[in-house]
This record gives sequence, C-alpha cells and structure tokens, in this order.
Amino acid sequence: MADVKTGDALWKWILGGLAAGAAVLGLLVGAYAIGYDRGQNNAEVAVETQPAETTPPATEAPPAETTPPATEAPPAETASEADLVARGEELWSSTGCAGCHSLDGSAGAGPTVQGLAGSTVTLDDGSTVTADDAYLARSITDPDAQISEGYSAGIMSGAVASQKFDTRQQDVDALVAFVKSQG
Amino acid sequence: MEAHAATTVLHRDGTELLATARLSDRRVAWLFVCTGLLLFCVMGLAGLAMRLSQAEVFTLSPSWFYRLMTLHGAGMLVGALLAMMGALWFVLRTTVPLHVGRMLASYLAIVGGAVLVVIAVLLGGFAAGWTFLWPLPFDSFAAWRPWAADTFLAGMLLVGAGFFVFCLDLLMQTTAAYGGLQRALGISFLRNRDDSPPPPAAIAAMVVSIEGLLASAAGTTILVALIGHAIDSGLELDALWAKNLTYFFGHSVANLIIYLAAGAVYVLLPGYTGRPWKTTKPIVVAWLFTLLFVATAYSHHLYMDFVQPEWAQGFSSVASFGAALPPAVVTIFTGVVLIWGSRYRWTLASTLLYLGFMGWAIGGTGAVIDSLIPINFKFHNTLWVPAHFHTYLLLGVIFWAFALFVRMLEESAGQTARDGVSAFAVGALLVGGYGFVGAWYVSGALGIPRRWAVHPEGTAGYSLAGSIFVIVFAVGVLVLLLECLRLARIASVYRWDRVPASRASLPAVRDGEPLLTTGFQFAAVSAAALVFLGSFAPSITDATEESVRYHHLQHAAQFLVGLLVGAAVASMPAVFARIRRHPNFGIALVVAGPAVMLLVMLPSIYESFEGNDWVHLLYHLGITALGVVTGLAAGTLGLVTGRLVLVLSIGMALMYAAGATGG
Repeated sequence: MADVKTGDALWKWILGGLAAGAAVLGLLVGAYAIGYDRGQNNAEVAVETQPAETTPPATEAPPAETTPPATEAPPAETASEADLVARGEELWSSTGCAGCHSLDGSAGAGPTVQGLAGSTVTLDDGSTVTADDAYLARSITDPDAQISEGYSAGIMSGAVASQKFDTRQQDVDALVAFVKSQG
Repeated sequence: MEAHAATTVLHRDGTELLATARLSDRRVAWLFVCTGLLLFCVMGLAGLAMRLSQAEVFTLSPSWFYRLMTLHGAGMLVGALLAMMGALWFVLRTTVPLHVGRMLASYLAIVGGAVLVVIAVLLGGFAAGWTFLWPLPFDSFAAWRPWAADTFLAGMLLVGAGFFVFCLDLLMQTTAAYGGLQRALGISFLRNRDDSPPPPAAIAAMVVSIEGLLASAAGTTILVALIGHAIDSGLELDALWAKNLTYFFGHSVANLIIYLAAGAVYVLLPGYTGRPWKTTKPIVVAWLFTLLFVATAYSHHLYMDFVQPEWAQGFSSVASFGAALPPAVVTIFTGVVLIWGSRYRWTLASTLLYLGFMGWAIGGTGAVIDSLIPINFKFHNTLWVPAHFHTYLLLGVIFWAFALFVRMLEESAGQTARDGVSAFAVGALLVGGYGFVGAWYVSGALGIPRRWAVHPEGTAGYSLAGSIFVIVFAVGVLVLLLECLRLARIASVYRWDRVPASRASLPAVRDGEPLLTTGFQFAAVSAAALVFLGSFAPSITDATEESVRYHHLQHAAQFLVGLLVGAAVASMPAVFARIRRHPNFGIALVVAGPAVMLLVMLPSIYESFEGNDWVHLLYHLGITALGVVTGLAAGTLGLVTGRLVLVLSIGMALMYAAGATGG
C-alpha cells in the first residue's frame, strides 16, 4: 500500500502487469494465428476434396476436369441462400418486424409469417392472392398496396417508412428469403 | 422568536429546517421547489384540457391531444424531479457537503432540456409521447417536422445529463461524508461494524444516486443512438433493445422521484413528531433491496412484448416487487409508528406529509396489482396505469413537495396556515385527487384504453366525472397557493430572515482516494489495457467489417484501452495530487466523453475513413483518446464514484454495440 501512495515501486507493478498482459496477448495471438491457419487450410482442403466427395460414383466416369463446375455450384448457391436467410433474420430483428408479425402463428398487430410463403392470402377487398416472392416483396416495399383481411392500411407503411425499403432491394430479398424459411 | 416558531409551526421538540440551513441552501431549495411546482401547475392545466376533451366538453384535435400528452408527461416528470431533487438536497446539506455550483449546473441543464421539449412540442408539433419509442419520433406522417424530433431528443438528453450531474455530486459527497460505500449504504451497520450509521436520508440518497447514474447512462445511450439515426439514417437500431433502454431510463427516473421524496420525508416528518427517524436494520435492508432490484424493474413495461425473453419477464416481475415493496412498507410503517403517540403537530404542511403516505400506499397497491403478469395483460394498456402512477406521484410526491414548500413558508412567517383554509384546501385536494384517480381506476378496470385522444363511444361520462374531480383538486391547489401567498407576505415583513440563516461551514469530509489503491490493481489494469490493445490488430478490423455489431464492439474495446490507461495515469500519486483539485472539470468530462464517443460511432463517419488505413487508425486512436480523457476525469471523482463512472462508460459503449445494428 505504502509503495502506491508514495509512488515508490509503482513502476514495478505496472511493468509486471504489462509483462503479464503481453504474455496473455501473445497466447491469444498465437491461438488465433494457429486457428486461423488451420481454418484456412481446412477451407482449402474442403474445396479441394469437395469435387471428389460430391462426384457420384455411379456416373459414367465423367472427365475429372468437367466435374468441379457441376458439383461446386449447388453448395455455393446453398451458402448464398443461407447467408440471405441469416441477413433476413438479422433485419427481422433490427427493423422491428417481430414487433407485429409472429413466427409461431400467434396473433399480433400484423399477420403471422408462419406458413405464409406460398399460401393463399385473402385481402381486405375479398380477393385472394398467392403469397409468392413478388407478393412478399411488395408487402415490404409498399405495405398498403394489398392489405390482408382483418388488418388496417397505414400501420406497417408508417412503421417502415423510415427504412426506405424501396431503395434496398438486397435487404428486401433477404427478408423474403427469411419469411420463406418460416414454412 | 425561534422558540416561538418552534412551538407553533413544529412539534415542541422539532428542529426548524431554516435554522440549520445556510443562505445558499435556502435559495437553491426555493429555486428547485418553486420551479417544480410551477411546472406542475402548468402541466396540470394541460392534463385538465386532455380530460375535458375526452369528456367531449370541447374538442381538442388528436394532433393537439398528443402534443399535450407529450408535453404533460415530460413536463410533469421534470417538475416532480426538480422539486424532489431540491428537497433531498436541502435536507441533506446539514450533514453532507453537497456542491451549490453543481446543483445549479444540473438545474440549468434540466430546465434547458425542458425548454427544448416545449419548443419541440409547441413549435415543431412533436407528439410521439415523452417515451420517444423507436422508431416513432422519425415516423410522424408529417404530423411534426424532423427538427422537432431532434430538438425533443436533445432536450431529453439534457434532462438526463442534468440528473447525471446531480447524482454524481450526491454519490461523491455522501460517500466522502460517511467514509466509503459500505458505511454510506449502511452495510457496515448491518454487519455490526458501525455504531453510528448514516441517517435514512443519506442511505436513500446513496441508492438514488447509484441507480440514477445507471439510468442516466442507459438514457444517454439510447438518446445518442436516436440522435445518431437523425444525423445518419443508415444507423439502424434494434427495436427491442431501444424499448428496453428507453424504459430503463424513463421508468427508473420516474421511480427514483419517489425515492428522492422518501429521503426528504425522513427529515421532514421528525419536525412534527419530535422524534428522530433513526436508521434501523430493516430500513437498511429495505433500501438494499431497492438498490439491487430497481434497475431491472423497468422491464415490466415489456410484459406484452412477446419478443422479450421469458427469463427477463420473470426476473422483472420479481424485481418489481423486490424494488418497490420493502422501502414503501418499511418507510410507511416506521413513519406511522413515529407519529403514533407523538402528539403529532397537525399543520397544513404536516397533514400533506401524512397524506402523502396514503398516496404512496394506495398507488403502490395499484402498481402491485398491475405488476402481476396475467393482470398486466388486461390492464397495461388501460387507464389503470395512469391511475396508479398519478396516485403516488400526484397524491404522494406532489403532496410532499407542497409540504416542504408550505413548511418553509410557515417557518419563514413564524405561523402556520389558517386552520379553516387548510381544512378546505386539504379536503378539496383529497376529494378531487382521489375522485380523479378513482374515475381512472374504474375506467381501467372496464378496459378503457390509455393514450387515446378519443375514448370509446359511451364512456365520456367517466372522463367527465374525472374532469370535475380535477377541477375540485385545482380549486384546492389554488386555495393552498393563496394561503401560501399570505404566508409569504408575512415572511416578507421579516425580510425572509426571521430565522437567521446558518453560518456554519459545510461539513468536513475525508480526502478522496484514487481509483487504484494497490500495486496489484495497477498491475491488473496495465495487463488488461495491453490485452485489449489487441483490438487494434488489422485482422480484427478486417474481421469485424462484416458486422456492425462486432465493429462497434471493437470500438468499445479501443475505448476501454483508453479508460484503463486514463484510470492508471490518474491514480499515480503525482498525477492524482494535481487532478484531485479539479472535480468539476472531471464531472464535465465524464458527462461529455462517453456521449461524444457514442456520437462519433456513426457509420457515415467511420465508413468514410475505411478507404485509408492510416486515417482509419487515427479514428480508432481518437476513440481511445476519448477513453483516456474519460478515465483521467473519472480519477478526479474519488474511488467509488470514479470506478462506477468507468464501469458505466464502458457499459454505454457495449450497450451501443449491442443495439446499433445497421449501417
């Protein structure tokens, strides 16, 4: 205690702390570098081995050089779709969609999105429409264009006006992908 | 003369507040209490206009209804807050050396904020409610102009900053006066290690100051984020996060008004009972419950938000009861026991003081009923909610504010208010007040919604009944104020110094301690600073570019490096000996530093730097520099307050990183 109050020997403590911090930082950097390299290597190995793994054994031995394009494309698409859904999920939370639309079928200020994609929706004028991609996208960019039966115009359009979804096509696609992933 | 006053105005064994108050104490108390009550009267008229409109006596357009609702909410909050800040400050100044300049700075910030709110509402048409829930302030459907929302948010930020300064001074000086955190909170007394515990008012002040700092930090975070969105619309916020922080701030500040008031009552009541209100272990335990739970009680406002995690809902329910019931039960019980058999001196002031307990108890019961989750689902969006909080704020806190106001006048005049006039005023306040909230309780139980400009058809009768009771209450206030005017005239005959001001100097306190007091703490902080220096690594920057949350988290880590370095430097004996003399500077910087750090964390600012690695690095170093400044400034505030400020500063950066999701 006395050493701190007078300043005597304080630097010893500080240097000791810095040394300890340097050791911890070194361990963290080392662990990161090793993990990072392994991740890189694993990724490379995975890319290299993918064609072999995905090449159907029963096929009539297609030339090795023609296999990669045919087998690499589907995983890439899957990854892209998964990214889109993940982005959509993030937007779902951050833009407050969850405040009105439930994911489990329960009632809210807006219709649930559970089972919405591909279903037949009855609109407030009595007509029906299939909830395809175009319908879902339009429901986000122009919510008042088609109002589901039992709900009111002006609520969602007011809530999302500041989001300017009509200028954010990629985000709209992501939200549509997320809604479609909800069955 | 003093002996005469003591036997007529107070209990014969009671002590005059004015006799122990310095001139500056009196002036500050008058300033705060008068401003608070003035705001109460003006905002009360706005409330009456809303009720009359709902009663269909005259038509207030929905646009104006919601403007008045916004103004009434914000104005009443500020009014009650100012009155009770002044009350607790005044009664504590005999034992705690609270700072006049900081109190006035706090006043200027809060009143300045209130002025901005008035401008936003009356000139800009802002009408999103005082709770400014995201994203409503920005989606006005042209009902108000964008600048109005910005002005309102800036106003609320100033109110929060003013309260933050008040709480900082309260915490710094109370811990200094009573020798540290544990003693000032009564924990040492609880553990039988302290025979002379601090008075109950000081314990209440400690709880209010700690919780007030937490609430203000949360408020600053959400308000700066909202202002950030106003500047850069690319900054997106998580709606659930925003609502949590908004109520963390709003509910907590509103809640703390009651605890500020309770602290003042601990000193006011003994003047009429002739018995001191001693600190007992149940009182300490009750306030520790509040300290533990009040910060999380706010989330009972989110019971109806199905996206709020269930564990949070359950915890909130426990916290709501844990925070509110112990101090209310213990304070009301011990207060009544203090009065029992004491030959209580009944005057206008002491009657209001006594009746305030009733408002707290009845309003608290209404709150307890509403806090039960199954009932909350039925009641929360009904008039039951304004009924219960008007009961304990209007018929509890405002009664106590009037009690202090009247007592100071009675002591200055050397005589009490006239019995007949007092009886009429109190009768009108009771009948009008309970009739007014009673109409709301009934309306709420029937399911009439709150915050609606136009009520369901056929229910205007309830509003009409409520309005009539408000008018009766207003008559009571008017009669009370006229009687106060009479007392003021008598006091002016004595040139307001019938009771000479105390010339005692402020109580002496121990010197503050630095943030770090042992060699091991220096070592730990140095190690942590070096570890977090890793956040500058280019690979970390690259990795966090993909996620706004992670990128803001990186900024938070860089700010933390600065905080740690600043705290370590500030604690070095040679440095501490110099900076300890400038706590006011320190207060200004700990208020500004974290807020500026959040404000520069705008995507439109840092994304423009990302094209150039060196400029980007400079930006990150700037964030760290803000941390250093905040850490150094925290070092001027003493061990307890400074450390809490450090935690809150990094907490604000982390909260911001969690909620600002886009960009």
